[in-house]
Amino acid sequence: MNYRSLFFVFAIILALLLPSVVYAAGSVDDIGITVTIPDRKEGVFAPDKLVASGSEEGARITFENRGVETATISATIVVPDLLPLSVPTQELSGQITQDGNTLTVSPMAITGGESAIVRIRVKPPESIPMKTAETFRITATAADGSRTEYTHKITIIPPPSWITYGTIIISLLLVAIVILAVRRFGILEMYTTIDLVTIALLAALAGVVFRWFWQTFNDLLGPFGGLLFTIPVSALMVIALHLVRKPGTAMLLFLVDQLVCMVIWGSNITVWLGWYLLEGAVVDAEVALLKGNYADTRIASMIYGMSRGFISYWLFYFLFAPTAWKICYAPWYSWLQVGLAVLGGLIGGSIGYDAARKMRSAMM
Amino acid sequence: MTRIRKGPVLLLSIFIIVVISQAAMAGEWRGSGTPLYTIASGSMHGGVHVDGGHGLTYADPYTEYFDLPDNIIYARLYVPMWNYNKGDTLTVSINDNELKTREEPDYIAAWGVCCYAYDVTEVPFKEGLNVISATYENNNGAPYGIFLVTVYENESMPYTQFWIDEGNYALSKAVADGGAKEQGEALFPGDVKTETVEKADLWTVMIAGTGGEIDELWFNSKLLGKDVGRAKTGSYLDFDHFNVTDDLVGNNNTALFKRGGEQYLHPFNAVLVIEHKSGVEGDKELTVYEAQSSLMSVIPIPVVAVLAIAIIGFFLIYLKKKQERG
Repeated sequence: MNYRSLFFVFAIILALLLPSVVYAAGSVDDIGITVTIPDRKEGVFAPDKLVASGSEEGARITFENRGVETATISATIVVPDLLPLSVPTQELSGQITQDGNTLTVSPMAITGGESAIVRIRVKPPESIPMKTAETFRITATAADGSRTEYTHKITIIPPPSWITYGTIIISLLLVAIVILAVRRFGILEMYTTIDLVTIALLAALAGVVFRWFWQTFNDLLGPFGGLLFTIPVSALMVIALHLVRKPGTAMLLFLVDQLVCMVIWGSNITVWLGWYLLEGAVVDAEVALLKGNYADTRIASMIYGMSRGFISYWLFYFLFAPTAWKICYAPWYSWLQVGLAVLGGLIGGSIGYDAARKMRSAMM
Repeated sequence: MTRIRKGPVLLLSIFIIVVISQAAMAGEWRGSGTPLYTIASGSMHGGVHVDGGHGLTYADPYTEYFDLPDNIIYARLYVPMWNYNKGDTLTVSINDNELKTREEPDYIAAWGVCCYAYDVTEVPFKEGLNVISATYENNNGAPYGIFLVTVYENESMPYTQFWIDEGNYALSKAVADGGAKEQGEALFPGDVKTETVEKADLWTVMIAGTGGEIDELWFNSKLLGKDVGRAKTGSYLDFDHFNVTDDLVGNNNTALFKRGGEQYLHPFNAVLVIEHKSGVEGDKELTVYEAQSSLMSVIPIPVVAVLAIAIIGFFLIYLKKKQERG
């Protein structure tokens, strides 16, 4: 049998394959580059967002060899000038050199199907005038001179200077308006001693007992732990509205609640008092809009509970967290929490309505 | 009728029993915690390596790398953790050695800010790069960092004295634990021959500092810095190093953490290392003190008080209603 033609075909196939194998082993075609920033638990925190004046954040640059052969590459990582850079001790420490905000990593031998990870730490700027997009530029070069470039955009938000100052000003304005309204319309004089005692007792229950209860047991319910606070607080708010029946009751309740928390748990409310009062202000406005419905119907009670839950959690996740804590939560997580707060408000409003009616009939 | 009246009372009693009994198992308010104290001190020709990082990230596993010297004679590992609850676990691996899974931390304060401390002297560290990872089960919680203090011997190096202080003291204005805590100190007991000192270094670890809330850190009579706790080493974490050569005193050197305007500030560690001039000789000494670990679960008095007042209030309403019904 003549195998010559068979050998010939095989030789042609081998000749065609060989360059591609060599190419795969020495080029960057199979190298995938990804940047993870902030290097936190994925899903909960918004990716590619840093908050100005926030604390130092980790970032992870992953070079993944999607081929089957070992690739030896060197990489240059250029970090935006706005983000002071430091390099923690890591597996590749011996191969990393830093020149300002530029890192050179050489050599990196990455076996097929494996990854090499470069960890860095960046410090967001103290202040920026407006939302700013910045770019990480990464270049990987193989021994054969082939190279690939990857750019990764991030956003630095918000300009906390004006948001923070704006928040403080709005907070102080709100407090000033409350004080003026109290003086102008003699609102405090409308409250009887029994009203004030009722509000104080309900605020203490919310701020001391249920806050402790929530902090203690919220882990048992996992992501639904917030319900342990939103349900009782909404219920207590509805009870207060129904029993006291005066304009400004919700605001006064939350004011006393925050004062109690400040004394007992050391909470810092100085700057944020206005925002804490806002949830009460919204509910008091709704009472006025519903023509003095002091949680006299189940629907109204549930609306008040829902509004309180929505306002307080929306403010926390979309304003308080990025502004005060310099943390951006992922939108889905934030809206889940807001949704749970609304659910808690609905349940708490309904429970509060039943409890309030029974208590009122007892007191009458 | 009687059955109806008994109902709420029974329900309330069950609620209180459930609350109290659960609290005894898993109560989260832990009081002010443990003031810093010396866990180990000594001297030798050699040095002390203090390193760690990098803030609350919720990464699991949480990994930190350490570039270590040879001839380690004592090593202490710390994993500060947020939001401890009964049932949580922590498993630490050093290189390929998995340490025994821990459940209870050593130090805990406030709303579950805790610290797991390990004597890892017997763990075979490598000279050079070592990786330590922490895997944990903790709903809503995570490590603030991983810190390692290693004492190593090297006859060619200067004579060195060291003190390793640890704890977890919640400085706060909360009155739930009997009143505000304004300051906490870390004492480094014993004598120092200041005239032969070449260099003195102080490392501190603090949790929960906030930028703009002005705290103070003192070493003896020297103010080392204001607003030291500002989460500069990562989320909620401050790991600092100070040269305190000119501020040493002859005995009982002390670092003082002042809360100032901070809402909460948790000093966790203070390590003082004094390197003497070349030519100064001394023996190797290593004293490891008994750990003052504490796990306290308390229902704060204000919670009990408000609950009692509320129960009395509701009881009075109930009595009134009963009277009205004749």
